[in-house]
Amino acid sequence: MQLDIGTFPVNTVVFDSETLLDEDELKISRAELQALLQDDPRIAGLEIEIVKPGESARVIHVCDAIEPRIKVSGAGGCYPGVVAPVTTVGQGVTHRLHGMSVVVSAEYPRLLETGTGAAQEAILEMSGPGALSPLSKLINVVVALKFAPGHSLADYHQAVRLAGFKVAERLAETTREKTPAHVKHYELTAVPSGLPKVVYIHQSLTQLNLPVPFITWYGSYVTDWMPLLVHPNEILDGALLPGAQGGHAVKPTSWEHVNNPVIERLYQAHGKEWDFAGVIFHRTRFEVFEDKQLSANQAAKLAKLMGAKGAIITWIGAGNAFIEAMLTVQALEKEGIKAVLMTYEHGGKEGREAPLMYTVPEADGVVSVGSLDRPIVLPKVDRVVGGDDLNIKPESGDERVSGKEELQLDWYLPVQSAVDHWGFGKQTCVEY
Amino acid sequence: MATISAMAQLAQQVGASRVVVGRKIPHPCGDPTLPDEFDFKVREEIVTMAFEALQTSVGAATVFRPSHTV
Repeated sequence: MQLDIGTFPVNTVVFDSETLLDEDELKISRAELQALLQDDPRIAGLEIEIVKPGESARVIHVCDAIEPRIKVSGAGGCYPGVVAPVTTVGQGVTHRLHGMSVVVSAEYPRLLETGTGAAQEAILEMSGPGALSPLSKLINVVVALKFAPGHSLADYHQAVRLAGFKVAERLAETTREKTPAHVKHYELTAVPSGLPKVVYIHQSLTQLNLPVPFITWYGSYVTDWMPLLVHPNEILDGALLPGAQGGHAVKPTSWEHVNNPVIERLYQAHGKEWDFAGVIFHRTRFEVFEDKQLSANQAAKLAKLMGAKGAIITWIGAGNAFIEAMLTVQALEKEGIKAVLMTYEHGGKEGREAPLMYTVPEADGVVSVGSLDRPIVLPKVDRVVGGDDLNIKPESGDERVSGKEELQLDWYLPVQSAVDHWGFGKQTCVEY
Repeated sequence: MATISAMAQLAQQVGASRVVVGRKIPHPCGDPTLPDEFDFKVREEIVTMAFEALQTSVGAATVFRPSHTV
């Protein structure tokens, strides 16, 4: 499976009368993008705005961020199952607009009032202490939707997804006939024997108690699946995506999925320091302990069959899903495979509480990617996009605050992608 | 005290004295996805074992494991 990704760096995005790419300047016709989405009966209002890194701006009600990508040759299309057929991807030539994203913003009606499925706020800061994620370093084209009343949650999810990916696809289309600034080749080539085989175990929760259980594989909602062998190129072409209403700190966006730095790094030293053997996608958040243990054992079994000597494990979720992360470390080590887990920590407001909710003795190589629990103050901003006000704690009632004002957050959770699951940045925890 | 928990290892880690292995995280005493009669059997086993655990004297953290087999 050979994939060439052609990158078109975008340094400026402006509104214009037509949509086209002029060197590193992307011109966008607002009217054209609005026309793309105007027939969706679930969308009652639509605004398109641009926010830039360093700007005193905040996007609220963030659902997802998408890197514009299109397939220009080879089988299938980018983001299969959503805006392309379910043809196996990861081959041919993909173009992408880099340095920007399409951010979808929409406030969900509170059809679910409580629990993990209740709509939660997700804020994207373009400057200041809350600009923690890679998304804050991008030029973001924000597609802000207002829902028409009377539809189901599943309907709203679909509307959000289609809006984001249709706009992203249209923008990526501007690159089709052009030559990329640079091209990177992704292939799991045969390498000299003797290099240790390394697998990437890519865990994500899905929540089967919800109408829409979060992660999709080729557009298909991942339910209680056992671990699946995946080619990393499939992920680079957008086969693995968060569902809509992605929102907040512990649910990475589509942009992050296709730019996963763990995959980049494993490719970078493939054939030099190690032999990148592939990816195991591992669905987590089983509700029965035996199922957690079984899925961990199956992931370790696949790694063993692949000849792995080492494994990197990342996880998405909070609480429940962490058990599988630890059980997988244990199962791998029992198979003689060295396991390194990347995880965020808890630790409470002052870092004095337990950092991890569950541990196993075999977990002797753990990389900390920062804390979820620290309080954070988001300063007043000049501009808010996606609405005027928001509800930071929907579980505590209907209190709404102005989107422009200072926001005092008890922890990182409402900040979109503030937890750096896959190592985009340099967040960590240190003892002092 | 006896703790019924689907995550017995966690309960043990925080020092619960008698841990009865429950079925599902959101449904520790049963499994509504099972047919009614199996769900009833699982519930009966778990709750009965919790009563047995309460009547058992323990030194260290002890796990009581209903069969859960359906």
